[in-house]
Amino acid sequence: MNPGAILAVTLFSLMISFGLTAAALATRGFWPNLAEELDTISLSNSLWRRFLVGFINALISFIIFAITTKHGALGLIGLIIFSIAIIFTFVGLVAEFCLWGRKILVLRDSPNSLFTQTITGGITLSIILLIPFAGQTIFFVVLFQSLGTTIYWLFQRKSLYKT
Amino acid sequence: MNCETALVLIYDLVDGEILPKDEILLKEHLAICQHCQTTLKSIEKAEKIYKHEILVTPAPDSVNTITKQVLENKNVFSLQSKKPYWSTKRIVYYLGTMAASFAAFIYLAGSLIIVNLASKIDLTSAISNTSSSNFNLDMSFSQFIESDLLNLLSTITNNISQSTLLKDLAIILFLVSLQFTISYLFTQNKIKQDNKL
Repeated sequence: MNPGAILAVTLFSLMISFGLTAAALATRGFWPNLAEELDTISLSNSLWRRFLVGFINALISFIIFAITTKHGALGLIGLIIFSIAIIFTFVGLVAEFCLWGRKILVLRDSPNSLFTQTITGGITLSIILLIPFAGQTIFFVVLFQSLGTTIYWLFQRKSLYKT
Repeated sequence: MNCETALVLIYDLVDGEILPKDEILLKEHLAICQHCQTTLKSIEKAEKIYKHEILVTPAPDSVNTITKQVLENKNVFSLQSKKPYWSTKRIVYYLGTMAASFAAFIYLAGSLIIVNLASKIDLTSAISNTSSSNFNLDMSFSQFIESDLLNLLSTITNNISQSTLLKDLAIILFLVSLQFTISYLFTQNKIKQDNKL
């Protein structure tokens, strides 16, 4: 790979990850209740279960998208389903960034704000994304987890308030 | 974790009796809860004051006296019987879930298989072999089956086999149902009381 391509990939990765961090911060600011519910869901359900749910949903959404692209009108339905999956992933990232940030900041042994946690998580994942192949794999795992978190939130949000 | 649970763990933390697992959870909660941070600080402050100003000396033979009293009281050691895991309600719930999942799977898979099979059956040759395709009142049941019903079936299957859109639509419906069923079944674990908002 030539240096230009490496630079392009690095810049693209940084743009994606920092953009997502900013989006996560904005979501947390504008919809604090949603963010809190997602935080609770991510803490309540195991990492692998969330990953599995996210992975299955992403796979099925992609298959539907691939099948529907053959047909004109039906392609729109596939596109909508796939777009919803992507939006759900971004929503779930709000909790995932915060979770990563919290786990890292616990090492500092000092209480921190949600802002610091989200930023720390975002920066950590951005740096991880720069590791060739392994970093991208970890980032994709986190994305699947995010989708899983949002799916869990859809089904479990009512039970969060039941005593 | 809610503040009520955190308060119990804060006391354990101050007493140095907290489990490492709980300590991580507590620190996660403290990181986001200003109220509990203040509580921890005030408890730590109070603990320091007590440690430095009040010195408690146990009375001589106090341990022996307490042990003797505990041993004399037989009820101290009777533990509450634990509820068995497999109750009728639980078994019915599991069986019901399994039956519902199985029924859903059969329904979805069956509909998909029927659409696929129907599109593959070629009845045109069968129709061409039949002598009469006109319906009249004198024909027997077998004749009716051979003529009109086969005509009807062949028309439907030809329409289906010509259009891949219908097949794809069936596959998509199946996949969407599968997606929903898997997500629903996975997310049925209950949230711990401590984590409720």
